[in-house]
Amino acid sequence: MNNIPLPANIVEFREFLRARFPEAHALAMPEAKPAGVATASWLESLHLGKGTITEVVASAASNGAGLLISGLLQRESACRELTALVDGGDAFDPWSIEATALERVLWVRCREPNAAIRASDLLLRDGNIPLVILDLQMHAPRAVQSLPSSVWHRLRMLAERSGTALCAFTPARSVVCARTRVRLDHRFDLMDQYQERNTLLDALSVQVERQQSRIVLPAAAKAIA
Amino acid sequence: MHAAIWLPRFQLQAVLRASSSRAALIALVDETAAGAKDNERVLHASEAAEQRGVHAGMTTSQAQARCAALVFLHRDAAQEGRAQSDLLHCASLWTPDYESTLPGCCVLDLNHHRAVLGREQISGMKMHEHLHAQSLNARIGFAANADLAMLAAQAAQPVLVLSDAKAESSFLHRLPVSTLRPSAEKLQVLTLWGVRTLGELIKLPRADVTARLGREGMMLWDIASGGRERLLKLVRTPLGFREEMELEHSIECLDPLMFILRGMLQGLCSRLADVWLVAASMMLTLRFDDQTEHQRALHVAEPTRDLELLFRVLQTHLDGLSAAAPMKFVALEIHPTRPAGNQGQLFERALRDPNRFAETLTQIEALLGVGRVGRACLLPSRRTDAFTVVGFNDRTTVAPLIAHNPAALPLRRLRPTPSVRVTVVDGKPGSFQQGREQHVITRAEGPWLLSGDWWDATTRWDKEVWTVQTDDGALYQLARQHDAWVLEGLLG
Repeated sequence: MNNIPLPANIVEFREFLRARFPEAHALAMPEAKPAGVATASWLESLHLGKGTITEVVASAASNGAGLLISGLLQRESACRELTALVDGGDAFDPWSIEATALERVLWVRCREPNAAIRASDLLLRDGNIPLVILDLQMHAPRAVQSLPSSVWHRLRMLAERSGTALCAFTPARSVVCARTRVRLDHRFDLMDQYQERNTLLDALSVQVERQQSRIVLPAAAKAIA
Repeated sequence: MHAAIWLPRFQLQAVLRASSSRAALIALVDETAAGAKDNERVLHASEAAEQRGVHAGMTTSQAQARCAALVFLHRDAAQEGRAQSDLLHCASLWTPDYESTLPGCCVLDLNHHRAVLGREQISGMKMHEHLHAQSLNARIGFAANADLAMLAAQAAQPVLVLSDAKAESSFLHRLPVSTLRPSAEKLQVLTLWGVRTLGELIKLPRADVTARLGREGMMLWDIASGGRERLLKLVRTPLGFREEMELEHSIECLDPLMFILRGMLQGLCSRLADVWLVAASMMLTLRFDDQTEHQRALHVAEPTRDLELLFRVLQTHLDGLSAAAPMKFVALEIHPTRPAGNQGQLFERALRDPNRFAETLTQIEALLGVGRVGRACLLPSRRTDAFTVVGFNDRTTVAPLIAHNPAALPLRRLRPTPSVRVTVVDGKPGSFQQGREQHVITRAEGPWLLSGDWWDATTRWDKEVWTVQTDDGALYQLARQHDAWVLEGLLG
């Protein structure tokens, strides 16, 4: 954690901004620490904070992005929550989750990152669905990283305003204003397809980091597993 | 308490109020009663004509012989319809429970209208004035039951209230039997018996009257003795919530169309409010100059009659619409429903604003295309992508007929499925090439043979599925169908 005291003028400027735009800071208070994952099933305690963006970076193919999306959809459905899946690469297979879970999933099938961003924009403005999963992982890293950072800032502001959690799956680190960033670097074995899904989820190798503090918790995954 | 509004000489009044004739000596001829002109008979005659000896039932030649200056008019069914409609409208202003008893006569059930009870004379005068303003001369009678009220209306000048049994009794006793409009045959019999008033009729035993005059005689006796308690055949206007407009000048842009639609919606919402209903969906029909038509049902997620909200639904839909030709016709129809009164599930998270959500879905659909947003429903097949996307608010589900246990590693589909070139080594895929990328397969599992629709030669399918792991650790699902390999997706 950075303990160096900030210059007085920056502190003063921040105070001024806080007083001038209280709405912008109302939801900016940290709610929970996603890094504090220390339960047996880390997915159950993965907290996607309201009004924040969580970025899940999966740089390689078959390293758990699909498993995590399916797990999130199952988890939210079990909580009787509605979830929107903005499928940026039209890659979601409805047969990958239970039919009952599909009842509570809004599936938005896009082909281009820009269309997926616009659809997410509309869903965040709407604010009816508490969790929006934006899956851009199937696109090339360059295509996702070429999105201007203002796009992510706008999405974050919309999420803050509507109190919606946005979980973005990207092929490379792209969301500059993400509150939380999770890196997936798991390698599956061909025999893993015969295991239980929960077992695979619990064993998923992840690195959870807080962007501001740049703390990488390599031990988290081990502790979780 | 019941009220009867009676328009004497109804057919003549209906014609006269649309006619420019100012003649006093007028007879209305019923040309529908007889074919030949010589046999035309007078249906009604004006008061002045009646004073000259012209009365209903005369032939035109007989009437003209009595009064040479007599002007003959003919019945007009359209005008009669309008007059009856105005009469019923007047009744509807007082109560929703009214009966269209006869042409030119309606009966109102005022038992639940305390504002009228005790003020019958004033209310009757108001009814009379209302109809007089529409060139209709009405007589209004108030009595305890419908039959008595009708008799009172016939004797009213212009309002008669029979407030108690004594008044009813004395009123009835004085009325001539012809007021009950018996058939000519029965009237003749009664006249031969010397029965001229209702008072004289009810002095006869009911059973004997029934034995001699049959059912009609029994009904006449019952009415003469104070009327029967009968249920009114209430008029219920059919509920129609449709507005349409044929445009004189074709419309080319959205603003004037929205202006028209807003006006239509205002009227429709007002009518919905009148009957305590809300809009469940709207059917928008647009017709263009090139004879094409656009018709779309717009569902309202949470039925409402809120004008702004319904207008926004229309606007959102029309924002994404483009047409090849200007518009010449617009129609808007609302399908009403009763307001929802059910409580949500205790543990079910409902949408905060279903209507806004529906609007958002419409916007996303306009952005991505039809069928690109919604809820996935699995289809009963093992075929790849055996699912359908239905509207998120559409509760119709297609239950899969086969057991569905999701695989541990979900498939990340590649759509459209790319073709790959696979090198087979020892009966197993050894490597595959996708575009310029070459993947060396280190392990392969399979084949799993899948097939379906074998009973239909046109749709039957079969394929061989392999899951493979490449040298970079990625897991893929390959499929061979008709000796062609495709890459169905990635696992995990």
